[in-house]
Amino acid sequence: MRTISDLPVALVEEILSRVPLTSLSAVRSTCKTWNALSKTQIFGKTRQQFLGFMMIDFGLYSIKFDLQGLNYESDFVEPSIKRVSILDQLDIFKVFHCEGLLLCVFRGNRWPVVWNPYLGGTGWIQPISDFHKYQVSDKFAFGYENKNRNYKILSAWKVLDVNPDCDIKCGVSLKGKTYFFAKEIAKAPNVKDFLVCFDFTAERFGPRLPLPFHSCGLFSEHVTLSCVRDEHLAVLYRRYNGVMEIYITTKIEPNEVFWSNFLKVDLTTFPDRFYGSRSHYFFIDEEKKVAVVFKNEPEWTMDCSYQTAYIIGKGGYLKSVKFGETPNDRKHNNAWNINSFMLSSYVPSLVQL
Amino acid sequence: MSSNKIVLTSSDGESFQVEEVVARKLQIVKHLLEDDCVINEIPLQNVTGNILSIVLEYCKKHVDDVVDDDASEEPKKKKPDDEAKQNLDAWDAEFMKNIDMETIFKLILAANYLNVEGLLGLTCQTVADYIKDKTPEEVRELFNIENDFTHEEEEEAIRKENAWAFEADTKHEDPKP
Repeated sequence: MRTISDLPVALVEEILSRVPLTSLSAVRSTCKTWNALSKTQIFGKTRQQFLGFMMIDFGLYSIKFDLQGLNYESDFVEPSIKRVSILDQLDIFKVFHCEGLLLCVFRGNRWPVVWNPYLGGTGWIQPISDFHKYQVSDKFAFGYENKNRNYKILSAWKVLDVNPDCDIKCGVSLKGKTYFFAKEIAKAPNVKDFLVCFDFTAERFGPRLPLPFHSCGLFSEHVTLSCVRDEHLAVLYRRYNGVMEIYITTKIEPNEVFWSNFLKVDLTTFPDRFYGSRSHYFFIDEEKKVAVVFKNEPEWTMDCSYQTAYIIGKGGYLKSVKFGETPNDRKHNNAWNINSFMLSSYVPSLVQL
Repeated sequence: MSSNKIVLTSSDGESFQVEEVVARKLQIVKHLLEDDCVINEIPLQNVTGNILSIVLEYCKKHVDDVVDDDASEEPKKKKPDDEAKQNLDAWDAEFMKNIDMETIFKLILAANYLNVEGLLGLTCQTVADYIKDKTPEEVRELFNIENDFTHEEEEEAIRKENAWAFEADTKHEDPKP
């Protein structure tokens, strides 16, 4: 009987590459050949689900968010998270991401470790700045030199050396470079905010790039960056009055950026005190034309706590989803706050570490 | 281009007369016709009549598909609207539903040899969809694959290493073990 093993390898690869990433474990466990094939090319490249990683209470979790069933209520699958226990023995403080590689930063003065979830290897990467100066609270950027994919780490300490009058708020990796949202340190309402790119090839910052809004510098305002398909940036700006705007780039280069409006919504109309959240991690599904925004704090009931995400669409579409339910008992630490977050931008990497 | 008819002959001697535009969906045919030679009959060595007829059924349905690399001089066809695309997708699903696994594999080989891109993608995706929600044991049984992991530990280690990517059937997990 003609079966899959009778096909030439290239066609077996063609088939397996279309199996979603969520079946990776099953595919690799089927036989040695499939396990080996999966290491030479990327399986699960048809991205129907959003996969990513988040740190919750300093534990590393992978998260799967499936928006396929959005149009049909009965088919909608709640997001799920899974503890990544493979790195549990390490005391991870924060995680950064660049094209399928995760940079894990630890408490104490240990070198950060890069982990490739897809191939399973870990390795060390030379930081750009003098490493002994880094503190646990510092922000990092993680990227690579264009020509030879030489990965590098930039710590915020180095950033401050270069731009002492700027406050770097958050950053996201895109095409090997890191884009930061930064504010010039000045008193509100004269604060200037901007986007700036760190190029790991030239090892320097690019010019200040404009943002599609001007924040007032008030404490209640928040800006978060996100990556869209590793091709574009998205920025979420929550104003002091609870209005949330999301913009997406139509062109993004280290020295030029163009933005277009994606979504605008008044968070004060949301059912719970969502707009009071400290910051809003989010990702965009361009095909479904929705933004998924996560509440940074857990919700509590008598018996359990859980995380909430809001699927927000144009024309007032709103759906809230719960996930990560944890029973309230002494066994569990119920702080349950999201510390780091990268979602939708995870695409497997074949980089050997 | 006038509506020429072309005869395609399978490896077991079965002949199919189709419109040229349908035959051109097979890139292997399209390249033969590109030299402006007048060809009315093309033998296709590696495909049996049974499989070729299924391929041609697909091609007839998809004759109006927009192909990005179509170098023909005809004006670019209009992109199908959402509804038309949904109808085509539904047809494709129904089309594949009635085909048994062995025939699907033969179709994959044929689509690859004849270079019918849409069909190759569709057939490979169909097989991928079969694999998608199954355990390794179920996959091995479905495709008659030998479990060549020497130790149970080997297999278990792989499962653990890839646990971050989610098992297909775990919808709600207790997040803190």
